[in-house]
Amino acid sequence: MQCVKSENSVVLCGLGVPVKALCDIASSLYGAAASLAEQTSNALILIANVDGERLKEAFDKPMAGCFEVIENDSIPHALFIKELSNGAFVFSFSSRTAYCFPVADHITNRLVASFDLSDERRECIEMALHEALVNGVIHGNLELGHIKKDTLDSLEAFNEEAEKRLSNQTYAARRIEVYIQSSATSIEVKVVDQGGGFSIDHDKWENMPWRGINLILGLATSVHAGEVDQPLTMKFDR
Amino acid sequence: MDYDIQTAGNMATVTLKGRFTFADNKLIREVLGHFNSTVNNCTMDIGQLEFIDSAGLGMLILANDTIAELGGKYVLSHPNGQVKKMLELTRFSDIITVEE
Repeated sequence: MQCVKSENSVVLCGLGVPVKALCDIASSLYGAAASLAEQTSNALILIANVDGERLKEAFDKPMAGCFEVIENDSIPHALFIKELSNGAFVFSFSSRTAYCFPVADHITNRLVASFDLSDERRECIEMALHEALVNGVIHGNLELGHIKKDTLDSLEAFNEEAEKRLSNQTYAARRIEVYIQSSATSIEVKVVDQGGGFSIDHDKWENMPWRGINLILGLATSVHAGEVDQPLTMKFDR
Repeated sequence: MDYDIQTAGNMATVTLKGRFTFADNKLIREVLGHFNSTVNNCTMDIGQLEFIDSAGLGMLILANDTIAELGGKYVLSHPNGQVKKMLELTRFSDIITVEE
């Protein structure tokens, strides 16, 4: 892993990202030249060409967050940097990465390493975050509606369509992001996708407690969602 | 997710291992392909599952429906950890027989 430091001491570390590209990104973000540095606990990890091993390596060390560098989309945007500056854990991945790899598991392990979380809390957060990421990717970024998957054939058709859209760079490169803030009493997890927003219409799914949204509502202390460009915000008591 | 299957008479025990999520739809179809009018009773041992999501639960319901259509009995056995929590949270035993 190569690391560079900008003049305001933010450390960017690259996995699969060349040093020159890291320096260019640091310059774009902070308007100043960057120099080689050691990795620190508040480093932002930039990762490219994600696979299981590389993702595991990224999450293996203390970090402030992780940003997937995608072709034609290599600079963290303003909201991401704002959340990072506010001390949040920040994560930004392509739809393909969030679909193919256990991102919620990695993020939750990082939270356990950073905060004093019980096993029970860890499980709640992982389950809710996983469901939120899946919903954000499938229904948000891939724009697949809520189709009944009550037969093997309809399930297979749904998954084939999901994989077809993931092969389309327009959909696959859409981002899904997670921002996490902690206080003495709670942990707040925001999930932002690039879809059209949705309403938590509890009545619609009332008789299906195994649906993702009902699980999220059951696991989190509070949930807020719905508007376009607004995050799904879940709060968990510590 | 991985699985193995042991058949005895008209009963098969399917042991699921690993993580059971939305990506596993092809595997569940493969598992259910082992059941027919001759082998139509299924115990799904989920003791070695580390994680299940809502899509995985949906597929367990599909499995239950498939076995029911064949006139057989479907049971989930040995849930533990996160999987057990998930079944409790969703009151899954209201729909499918769960054995500790």
